[in-house]
Amino acid sequence: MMNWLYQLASPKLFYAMTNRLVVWLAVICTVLFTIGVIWALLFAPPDYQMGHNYRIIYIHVPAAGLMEGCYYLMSLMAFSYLMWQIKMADIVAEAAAPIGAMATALVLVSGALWGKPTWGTYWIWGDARLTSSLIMLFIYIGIILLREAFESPESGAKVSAVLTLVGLVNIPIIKYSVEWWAVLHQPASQLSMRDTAANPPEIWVPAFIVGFGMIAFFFWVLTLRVRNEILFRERKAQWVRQLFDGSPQHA
Amino acid sequence: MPEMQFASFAEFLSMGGYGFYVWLAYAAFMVFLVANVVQPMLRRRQVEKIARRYAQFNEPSAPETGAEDSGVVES
Repeated sequence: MMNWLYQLASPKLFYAMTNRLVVWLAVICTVLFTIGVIWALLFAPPDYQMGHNYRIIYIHVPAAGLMEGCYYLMSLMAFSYLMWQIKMADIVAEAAAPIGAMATALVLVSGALWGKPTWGTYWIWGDARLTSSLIMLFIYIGIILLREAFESPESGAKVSAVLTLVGLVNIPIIKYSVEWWAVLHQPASQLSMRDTAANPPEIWVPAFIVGFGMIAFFFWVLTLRVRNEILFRERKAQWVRQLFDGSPQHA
Repeated sequence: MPEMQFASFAEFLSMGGYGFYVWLAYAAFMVFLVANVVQPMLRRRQVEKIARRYAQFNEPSAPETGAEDSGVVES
């Protein structure tokens, strides 16, 4: 187990180990998204209050999960980089930031489209869940821009790692905003196995399928970005040159 | 297998009157997916070009030329 972790911390071995992984993740997320979205749009029964509009939930909630999960991953990587100077941790943190930013944008757009027919407005400044999610987008963008603002990559990496850890305070604010200062956004739905009468499987199973698809998608596109960054940072290394010197082993 | 919730394609498109919101949200989802796949693929081509240029030089001191070397990812 530890040996496997050490290998992932080496850019060269990470690159070699993920050759096949990216193909598998692409296949898995395509299958899950296809099944999940068809089920969500065509087969899930309409909500008794919100009719067909609630189908937006099937992308809004997985996107929100990604917005949050991506930030946890980046925080872990930022911490590992600051504590132990693990280069791969910084590469992963850098690669994850734009995905998290785009997920947050999707959360805001899908949430606004949900809100208009449900609450009568696309946006309201007074709602803590909405505002803290917008702040999340600014934090993601800030992390990306701050890294680029530094001449030396090491300084940029360190400062963006610090900002990532500081931004972590927004996570519990997002999470509990719907309970502490509920204005418009409803509290989280309880998708429990016991409460099957309120939420039959036809409703929550597709949500989980799209959710798992989102996880596979995230790790797929994250790995693509990480591999690009590895090649770029290691462009002077012997192994990268051998990979691109025109001989047929290059895949 | 649960049953289909729409009797006709027109009904499916209208989403009980919520068609505009539902389809726009799913379109945003598609944009999100495509952007996240296309962006690293374009970057990959750029990085491959850089790597091939370095591979042409055998000495450890490889060239430092070209704007692509700055490491800035175009988005």
